[in-house]
Amino acid sequence: MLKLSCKEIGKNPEIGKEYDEINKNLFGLHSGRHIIFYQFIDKFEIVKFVSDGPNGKITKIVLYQPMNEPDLYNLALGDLDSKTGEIDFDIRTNNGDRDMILATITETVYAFLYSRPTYSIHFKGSDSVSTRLYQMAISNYFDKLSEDFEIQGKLKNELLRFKKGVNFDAFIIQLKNK
Amino acid sequence: MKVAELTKRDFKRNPLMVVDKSLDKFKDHKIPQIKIDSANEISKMESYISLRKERITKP
Repeated sequence: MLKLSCKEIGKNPEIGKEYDEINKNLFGLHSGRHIIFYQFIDKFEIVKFVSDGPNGKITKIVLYQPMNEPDLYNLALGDLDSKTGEIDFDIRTNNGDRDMILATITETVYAFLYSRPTYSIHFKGSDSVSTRLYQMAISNYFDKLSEDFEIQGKLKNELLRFKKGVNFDAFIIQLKNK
Repeated sequence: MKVAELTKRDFKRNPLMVVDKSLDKFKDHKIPQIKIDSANEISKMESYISLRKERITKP
């Protein structure tokens, strides 16, 4: 019976009831006298929003993709080409609304991590210039961000606590343990 | 700061993100390999492993 229920969950993960009162992202399915508790892993999260500026309306896609290690996701931001349906992850749009875009991405990070408090998000630019832009954005909002997030930077082969003025290669963001 | 606000929120009535199945088509898009390599490299670092362990075990 339990085996059958597990197979059923595998086929249709949405079948269970949410147990938010116990833990975020926790689902349970009754199976006879038991409840099978489970969580979603390896699940993509995709967010769409529109950047509106001098270059027109540009659809932005934020993609949270699971990495090899459990609990680690990569955040990638790209522009949707409405004609081809392709996402360009390397483009720099310069649509004059950088702060709005950063604020929206931060909102998605809150939404993502709030329901997965033990997870980590990795992000870096497609090139050193884009990574530098992320670095500047974190520096500008560091005081506010550090109230809720732990931010680490990768420097060569080390992971260090984020520090203004240091050029990191990539970043890891987590919800603070409170 | 924001987390404190979120703890008061009714997610059933006011969800943070709404599921939009039409976005599933973007699952197959390949993100630049450089990002994946970087994330996987970090995941093997001692400092990341101990950080992760601490997060999972700390109440």
